[in-house]
Amino acid sequence: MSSLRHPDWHLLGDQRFRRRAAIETSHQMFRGEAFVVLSDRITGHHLRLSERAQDLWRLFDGRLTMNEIWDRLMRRPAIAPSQGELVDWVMQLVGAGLILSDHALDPVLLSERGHKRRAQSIEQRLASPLAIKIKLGDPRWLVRLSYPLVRPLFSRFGGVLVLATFLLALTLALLNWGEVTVAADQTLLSQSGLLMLALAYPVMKLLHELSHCYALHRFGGQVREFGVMLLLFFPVPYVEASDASALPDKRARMLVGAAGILSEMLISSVALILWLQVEPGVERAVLFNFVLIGSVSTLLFNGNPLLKFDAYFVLSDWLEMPNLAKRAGEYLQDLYLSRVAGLRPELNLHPGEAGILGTYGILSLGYRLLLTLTIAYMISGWFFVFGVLLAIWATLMSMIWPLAKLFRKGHRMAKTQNRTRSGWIRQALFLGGIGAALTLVPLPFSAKGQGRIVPLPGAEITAATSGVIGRDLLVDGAAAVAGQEVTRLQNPAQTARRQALEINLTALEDELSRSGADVAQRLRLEREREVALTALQQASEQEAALSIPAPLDGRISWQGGQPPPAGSYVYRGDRLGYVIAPEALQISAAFPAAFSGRITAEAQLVMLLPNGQEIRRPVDRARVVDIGQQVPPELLVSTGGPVPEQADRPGMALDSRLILWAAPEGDLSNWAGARVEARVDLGQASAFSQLLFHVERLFLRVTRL
Amino acid sequence: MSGAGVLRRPVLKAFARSRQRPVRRQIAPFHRFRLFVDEYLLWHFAPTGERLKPLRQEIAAQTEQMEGLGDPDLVRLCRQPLRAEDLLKPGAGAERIAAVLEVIRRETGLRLRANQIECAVLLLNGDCVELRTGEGKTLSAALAALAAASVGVSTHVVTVNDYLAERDHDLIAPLAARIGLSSAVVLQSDADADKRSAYDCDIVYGTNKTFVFDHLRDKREQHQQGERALLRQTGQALAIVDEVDSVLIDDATVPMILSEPAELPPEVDVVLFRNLIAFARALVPGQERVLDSHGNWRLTKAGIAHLEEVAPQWRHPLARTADVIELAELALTATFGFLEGVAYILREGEVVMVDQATGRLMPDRKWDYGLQQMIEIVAGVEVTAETRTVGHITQQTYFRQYRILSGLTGTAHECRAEFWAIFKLAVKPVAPHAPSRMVNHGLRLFRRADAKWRAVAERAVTMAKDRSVLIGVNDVSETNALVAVFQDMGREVAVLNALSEAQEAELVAQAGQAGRITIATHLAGRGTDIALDAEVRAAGGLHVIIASVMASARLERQLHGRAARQGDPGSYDRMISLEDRGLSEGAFSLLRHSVTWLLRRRILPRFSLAKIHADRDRRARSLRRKTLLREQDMRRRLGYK
Repeated sequence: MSSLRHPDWHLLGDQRFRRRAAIETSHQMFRGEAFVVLSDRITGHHLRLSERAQDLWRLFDGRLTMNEIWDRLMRRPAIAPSQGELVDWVMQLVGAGLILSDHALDPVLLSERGHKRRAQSIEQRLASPLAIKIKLGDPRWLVRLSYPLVRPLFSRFGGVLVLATFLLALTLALLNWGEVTVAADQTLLSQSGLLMLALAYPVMKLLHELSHCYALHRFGGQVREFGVMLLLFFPVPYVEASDASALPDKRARMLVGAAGILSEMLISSVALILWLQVEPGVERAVLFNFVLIGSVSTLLFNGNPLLKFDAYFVLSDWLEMPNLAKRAGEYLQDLYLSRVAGLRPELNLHPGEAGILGTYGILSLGYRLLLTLTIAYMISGWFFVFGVLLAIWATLMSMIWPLAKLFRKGHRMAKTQNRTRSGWIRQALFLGGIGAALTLVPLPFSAKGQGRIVPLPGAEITAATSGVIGRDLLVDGAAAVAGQEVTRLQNPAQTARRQALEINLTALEDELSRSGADVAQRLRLEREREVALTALQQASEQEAALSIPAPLDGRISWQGGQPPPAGSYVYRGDRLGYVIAPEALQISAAFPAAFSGRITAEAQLVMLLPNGQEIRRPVDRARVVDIGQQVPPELLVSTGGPVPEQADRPGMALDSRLILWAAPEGDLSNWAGARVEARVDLGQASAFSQLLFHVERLFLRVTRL
Repeated sequence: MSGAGVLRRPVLKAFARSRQRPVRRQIAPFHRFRLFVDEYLLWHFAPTGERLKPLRQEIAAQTEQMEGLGDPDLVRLCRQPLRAEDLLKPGAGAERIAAVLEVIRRETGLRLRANQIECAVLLLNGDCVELRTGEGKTLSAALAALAAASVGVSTHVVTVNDYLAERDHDLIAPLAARIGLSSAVVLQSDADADKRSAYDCDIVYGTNKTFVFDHLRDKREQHQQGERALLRQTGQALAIVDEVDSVLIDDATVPMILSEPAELPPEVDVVLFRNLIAFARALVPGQERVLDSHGNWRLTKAGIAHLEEVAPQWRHPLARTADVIELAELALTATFGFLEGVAYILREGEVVMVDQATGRLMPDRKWDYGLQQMIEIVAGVEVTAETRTVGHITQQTYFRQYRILSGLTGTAHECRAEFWAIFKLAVKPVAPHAPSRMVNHGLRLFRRADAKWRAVAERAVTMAKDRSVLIGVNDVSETNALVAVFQDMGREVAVLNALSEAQEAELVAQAGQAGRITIATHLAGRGTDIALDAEVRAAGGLHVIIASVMASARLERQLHGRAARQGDPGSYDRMISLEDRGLSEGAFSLLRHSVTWLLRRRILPRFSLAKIHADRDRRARSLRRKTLLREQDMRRRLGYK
């Protein structure tokens, strides 16, 4: 059937509709076009009718059948609606319960309509498990009772006062910026601070919602419902302020929308001014919490028009474009279908709208995707299985499902326009191009990790024997030549032992030089002398080891940054420090073990020095340290490295790592011991294979657990 | 949504005569996806007939006792009050059914077989019974109808044509009269008063179209006259649908439209049509209008640009919308697509449509509003008024209103899932009383259609030496092609073409004589038994040739199901050509096109043909589902009767 006649017109044709009682109308202008908003005083629903539909609305007097209305509208064919439009409008009005028919209601169908509405809301909840609304009650009595308290604020003088408070608070905050940031850190980083934050939060949010109610009350509307929305399972109160859409003045609508933000900012401003005056104590801490919530939550959430919170509604009222987000989505769809698939565009936009819709659509789409993925990633980090399921669900609902709808719509449109083949070919080329770019164009691929610049084991200054540190030590950083004594240990017992052995040896030789001993005795003495000689030699060596030489030419770097205090006792094998020499340094770095398979022979290790300088060295050797295996000590967390160790087995890896070593080039001695950001170049790979690799890595970790 | 809900069945309740409470078996809107689950999974778990086994056993036991009863006692037994929901309980229900059986035996002398009784019980239970053709379905339906009517349930027995309705009613009328029940047959052509009195009877026979149209008219009058309206139907309680697959599957989406002529075409529309025709004539062929792959005229981009230039000056609501493109293409069709003498002829200043398939005139039919008027403008005759649709329903929507719907057919196997998903009809196969003696002679594939027709004719002549042959084709054009071949051979054949239903049935009934060749479409003479001559039976019975690619395997089964009935021998073979319309027609589908490609290369012909059938079935099924949902959606959203 052609579009001349709607196929279901016969259902409506002989019905007489009349406007229901208790419906108020208000006139609004949107981008130069007049609209009438019908507000149902009973259900609180609102419906916006365009100028053309208003004619129809006036004709619903209960006397004319739809056929007669149609005939009457067709007397002015140039501005009459098509039958399809007419049916749409009537169905909307009937669906909202704004018009009644003279025909009998079909109870079965009516109950099914209610059923359908309920079902839709359930479906909606299923579709977005991260934002569930729970209705709690009707706040009208509270608003009526408490409005006199805030009435002064909704006057010209009140407005000026509020503005002055903002300015004062802003000035004070800038003047005391240091103090404010320190306090913020204290609150956010301490458990008690967070607890108090959680207690202050509901108070703040309740005041926020109440101020929406007050603002609406000021302009004659009412809030009939408030409740709690579970955003990411975190309860956030909400109020149902759709009455505001019936306000004729757009500034009034904007004020109702912005009331929440304004009140939060006012509270935090007052709290900040007080906070600066009050003596430290519990009261001061509480005040600061209000400052923090008021400013941070406003900036991050409510003040962000890309999310469907307060600022969005203020923005769409300001632009006079209701349903901004939905229309922006439709506009992007239409843009895709007309530009990419080459179909006839469906939307008729007013001049100037396309730019706004396009900009807003792209920004909000990108922002929402980013937010969804970030949240999903965070949650999957906390509870793995649940998080991954949630992430998959969120991706399905926010990306795959809209895309599927888009393609279905495109297919249907192409079919009616007889452009199925060219449409699909164009889309296939476009998507194929994107797909090819993702899978074929190589991009740099690298792994990130952390590393250290450490001396080689041969540069260690070690006590070869036990002893007491002497006085004449070289200072930290002093130059030393290889073999130069850096310190001398004192060990009187050692010396005494050597002297005793010397005396013993002298005595034995003396005895041997005498005559008169028999053969057996001489043999015993000679054996004893041999033993004494060896012992003496060892004792002399140990005594010589009391002098600790520098192993290389370089600067002395004592353990702990200063020489060991004189008189302290060191055991044999204790490390006292290093000699830092440019040629005796090495670079070692730890990466997630998953990258081990991708390291090539010519892989380059890139280190970012703390001063921003980048050094790039070929990898000397690589090794995978599995869970529970010994980690090179310089990389352990306990020594200042990046690799965590097992609590009960110090020195053993907590998770598997890939360790890379490289030889330095040039003089890095200034950075010896420093922990630096490291990156290893893994050659080139397409975006798709990189993504695949990271996803695999994510799941590999689980299977190992 | 709950599992219990799936298996919940309506029980027979005695509210049969209610004008006020037509219970709708509609899909709850929340469960749009339930349809899918039902169709693909849940039908496997439809309740089985086990529950009714004790009842059947008891009926068998009771039947013996009834034979000794005197006539008055028997009638009293049939008339005594019984709650309708007790009819399917062993005890009183078994006694009632046995009594009705005994009445049938005394009146007709026929003793119903066990499988016929099983069939009747299943019908009363609201199931779809699948029984091989020729097993006595008519009598089973009669038993079920009599039993239900005897407990006060108004029963509609639905047949596919008036001839069958009358024939079946003639069978049941004396039975009903004997028990003291009233029965009637409703014909399409009956006067309203006759229809009202007919619908007041306990058992009503009629065709599906009659029932649906009467329902539409009732609703229309109810709207116009309100309480004063004298309705025809008394509600929808129990429907026993004969050939249920034909009614609920083949014709399910055929819209039943009640229309009234309007006074004059609106001047605004006529002006638009004239503008559109003028625009269409001014287009440059090839540049602004082209023929698409389906042979329809379409606007090119240049043509659309041209239209966008012209259209805003037309004073019509659609002139500024994208719909005007569609209308302009319609105007192209009217101007260049439909030619006088081919698509229509002019007679007495009127456009008369010509059926493209048969070449016959169809004076009662019109194109859609818009196209018809534009053709009239092109032809230069007076523009007629539109026929306004005032009521519209599809058969599936109508039959879903019945409190209990049950069906009978020989071929329901393929539609089990759909019957369950949409009508909650569980398909219960009932075993035939004698094993089938059907022989399949296989499939022959021809490249060219004329070669196939020749082969079919030769095969038919060979088989018809001492047997009888039935040739199944799709439509009139195929019949004509085949008849021409037979004429060349100088062979006399019976053709079922453009005949009344009664004549068709008569011809089909005679098709069992030796040496007789009958050409029929799958619908012709449905419900008529082909009685075989003794010599034919001895020679191997009826031979069926399916001579074209049918739209569905079900239709093929219906055709070859005419052979080998009631334990008779029989055989069939299939002969198709690659030029058959069944292979080339239809919207694009990857699966169908790929298997057709296989078929053209003679790879796995049987498998490919089955896949083609399955694909067509799937498409038709999804179309039916969409129609149903759309139709219900609008009503539900409106909420007014």
